[in-house]
Amino acid sequence: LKLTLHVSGNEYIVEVQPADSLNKVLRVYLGLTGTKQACDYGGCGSCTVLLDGDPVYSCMVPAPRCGSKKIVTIECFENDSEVRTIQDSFVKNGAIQCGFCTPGIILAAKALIGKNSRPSLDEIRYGIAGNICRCTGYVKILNAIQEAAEKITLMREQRF
Amino acid sequence: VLFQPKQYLFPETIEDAIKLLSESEDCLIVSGGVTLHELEKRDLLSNIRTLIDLSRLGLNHIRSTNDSLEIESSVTFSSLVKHESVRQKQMYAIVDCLEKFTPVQIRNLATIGGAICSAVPFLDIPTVFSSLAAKLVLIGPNGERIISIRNFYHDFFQTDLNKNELMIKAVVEKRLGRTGSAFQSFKRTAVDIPIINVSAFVSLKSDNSCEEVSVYIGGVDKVVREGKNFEDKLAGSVIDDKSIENGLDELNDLVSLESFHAGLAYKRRIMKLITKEVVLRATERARSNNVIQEDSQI
Repeated sequence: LKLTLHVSGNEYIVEVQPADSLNKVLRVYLGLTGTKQACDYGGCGSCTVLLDGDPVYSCMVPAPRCGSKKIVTIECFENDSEVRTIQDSFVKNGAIQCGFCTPGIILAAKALIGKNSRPSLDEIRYGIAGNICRCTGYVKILNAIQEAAEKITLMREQRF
Repeated sequence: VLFQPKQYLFPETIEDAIKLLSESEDCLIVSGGVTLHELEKRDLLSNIRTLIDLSRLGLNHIRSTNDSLEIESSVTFSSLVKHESVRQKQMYAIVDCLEKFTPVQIRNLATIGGAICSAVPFLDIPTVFSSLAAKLVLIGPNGERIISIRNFYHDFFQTDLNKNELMIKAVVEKRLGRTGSAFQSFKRTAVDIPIINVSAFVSLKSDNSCEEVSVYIGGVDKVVREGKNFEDKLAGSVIDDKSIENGLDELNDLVSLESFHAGLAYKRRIMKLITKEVVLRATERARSNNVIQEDSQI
């Protein structure tokens, strides 16, 4: 199956197999290894990407149905100031240790802040409930996302 | 044995989909696709050669009339919970189930048809729709047929669907009067499948006694089970802590499936705690129900 994929603003033409997941296509065929692969059946969140703006587990998405979708991976940080703001906040708050879960959590946070500019800690917990971190204990991650949300909201208000 | 399908097909019409299902010997329907790779890892798909993706059939509408709520099979959990009709107290078990459904990554992909037809007795949606007495509309080469979801499941992974049939929608009849429903799921973590789930529908008479109660429990057997003896004990009485506690032991026999996360005794204990909470919540909603219905469609 030949597909045209729109990933983080770039267009790729790629040949996929019927059983391929979006995760495999991103990592193996396109070399976009910022999206991680761990459990590979929807149990950890490290493979989270945005599909038409919504966070999904890329390991669960059949690649053949992604032809007309807009996909955002962590590689978007080069062109996305909001993702860079979340990233900076993670570094500043010490919310990264091994870093394996970080791309997935940052994208889940981006989707959350996109829908809720001032999320409460409970709303953040719910928004990233599908992303497991085995290092930090989550407190610093929650703080980082809340701080980033405040900055992003300020950025948006200044823009308009 | 490797999962090596040769084809991934996108039928554009229901007729095409049925034709493909009839012609292909080793095919599998893909709706949301969320269970596909888990089944693959458990070596359950090694005989599958054709994947039939329903995402282009346009079965993603929700229709609300005065009589019923129709949910087409490709409607995602996210879309359903946004629809105003599920906020009626009779349907509120759907909101309980989906509003805080975790993880959001699955809520955005999983479909109602997929959750019902995959026939996994731990999933939440079959339990909710069983308590609401949903009817399923199935379509095959000989046309449509309708079956109650309560008669749809035969065993683990086994439904009443024939090989060349697919489910096109679930229909929940609207019930006027003092009706309410509630749902609760018990999970080990936010990304796990539930250990147990309970959904209840309650209809009350004007004197607050119970006119009808339906209690369905998932995760306790190979199919979603009805707490029939428990319902019989509540029928006609005023539902409160005492009347519920008097009947809870009737549920013990339903539990026959244990796992390494939960043994039988543990499941029975959790089931009783959740059932009490869910039936009380459904009753409270029924007591305060003033039905307002409007036609809508998305």
